[in-house]
Amino acid sequence: MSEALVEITGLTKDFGQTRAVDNASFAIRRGETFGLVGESGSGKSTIASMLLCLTKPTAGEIFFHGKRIDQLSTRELAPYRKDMQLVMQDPISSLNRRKKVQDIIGLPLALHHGLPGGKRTDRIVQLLELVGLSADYLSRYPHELSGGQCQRVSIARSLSINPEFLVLDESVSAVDVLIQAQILNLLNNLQDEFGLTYLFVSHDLAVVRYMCDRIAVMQAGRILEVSDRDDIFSPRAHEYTRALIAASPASLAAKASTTPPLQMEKSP
Amino acid sequence: MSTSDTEASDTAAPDQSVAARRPSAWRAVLGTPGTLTAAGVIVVIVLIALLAPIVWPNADTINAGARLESPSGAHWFGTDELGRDLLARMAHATQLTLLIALGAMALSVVLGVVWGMVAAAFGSWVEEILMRTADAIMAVPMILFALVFVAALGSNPIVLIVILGIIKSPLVARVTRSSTMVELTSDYVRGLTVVGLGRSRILFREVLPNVFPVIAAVATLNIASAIMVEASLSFIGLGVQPPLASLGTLLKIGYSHLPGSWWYALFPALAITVIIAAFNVIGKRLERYLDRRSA
Repeated sequence: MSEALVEITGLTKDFGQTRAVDNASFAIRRGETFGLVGESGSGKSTIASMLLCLTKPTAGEIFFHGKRIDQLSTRELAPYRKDMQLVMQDPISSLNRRKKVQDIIGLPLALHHGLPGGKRTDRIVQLLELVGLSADYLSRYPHELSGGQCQRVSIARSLSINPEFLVLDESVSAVDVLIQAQILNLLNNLQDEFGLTYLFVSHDLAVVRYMCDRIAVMQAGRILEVSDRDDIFSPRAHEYTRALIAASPASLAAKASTTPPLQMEKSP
Repeated sequence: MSTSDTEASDTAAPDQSVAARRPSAWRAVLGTPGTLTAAGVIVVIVLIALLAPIVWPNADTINAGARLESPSGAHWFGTDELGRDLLARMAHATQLTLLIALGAMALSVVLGVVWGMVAAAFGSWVEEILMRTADAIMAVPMILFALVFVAALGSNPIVLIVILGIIKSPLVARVTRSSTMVELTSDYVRGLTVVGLGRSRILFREVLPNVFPVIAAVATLNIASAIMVEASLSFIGLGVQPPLASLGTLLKIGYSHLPGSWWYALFPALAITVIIAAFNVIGKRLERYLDRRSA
């Protein structure tokens, strides 16, 4: 793999007395999907938020393309904004409910590329088709769409300005399993097509295993280990990682089908 | 594998939910007998106010032979102390009353929205100063506040609009601030920040339209309240001055003719009551509807 696109070193964030992220360090290589897993409240979304410069770190450094970005002002940050985008968890609330699809996707285009009306519409239709929607959706409102469709619109908006780096913060956690699979495939295809780099934040180990090349495991604000996928899902992994995997619904189901129910109660 | 084959199942989305929801906002607010009546009353009163110069062009014609006549077929609401038709005078007075109230409401909304949004957007000490100022203004009784300024600036309709607008703006500011703060923590604002949209554009182009329904409720209540304060000021002789007349002015003059000429005070008083009640009913209903929706 090639050099690091995004790198954090010693990243720490305090919310009042609580240390949400404690001395976290990792590097995301260009073109890979980097997974960030952990329980709720382990600090993974806080890291995502700091990476996008939405939250100021208490300590530590963030590098993008080798340049430090965590201390830039809003104005200095502007050129970086179009290189890193975000797809959030709740597909419906992540879109402004009073804006039509064409305005939602068109906004970053107008902002960063200054495309005039006609050309902008062409590009919006092109983006819609890219994410598996069509021109029929141009003048729909978010509440006229399903969760999966909203998530596609979100992805289209993120891609509109050709970012290199996409933060997927629990992006498929709120849609049902069938649509989850479709969106994940879409994301994989888009990555191949545009050479995107993903930070994939999730608590769902099955999804992370499917998507990610390398994975960081977090617990209570600390990064326990960063390894290749195959090492994470192997007996060589950190004790906590193995506990996390054992506790996931998929492993429980597997266990339930091979062991009698009575023994289930004894197992931890 | 092409990306378009993923279209499949989630593109056949539920459309009906929306089609049903859009007009139902209107239906939910105007759907009760009370609010429908109130809306009807407001329409009729606005029409009367608008058409007053056409229907009653001679409202100011003095008729010395017909002073203080009781209601009759020729003068439905009787006549005043100069023999003018009271109904005609009330129509013109309603026009002025509504003009002042709407002007005050508009000013309160403009001031209050900027006030509340700036407070919500800046936070920290800016917010403290702005919101404590709002509290301070709201702590002073409205009439007292108005009295001081009318005494200092004199009273013509413009001054009244400005004073009433300022008095009512802290309420708009408060509501705008709290709704804006909720919006600012929402996902779509995060998304827009990441896209690189500036703070002021997020506030005024993206957040403001979402906050507007709540502001509309307060604005409606502000109309009612502005009418009441204006009528009170006019009644104690500090509001609209003759020869101009608002409903409050008419009530004041009618009150002085109360022994013997009951109609002169009664009809303006009724008109004021009905108008205020109508706006209040709509405003309260709107407020409750929005409360329930956000809950």
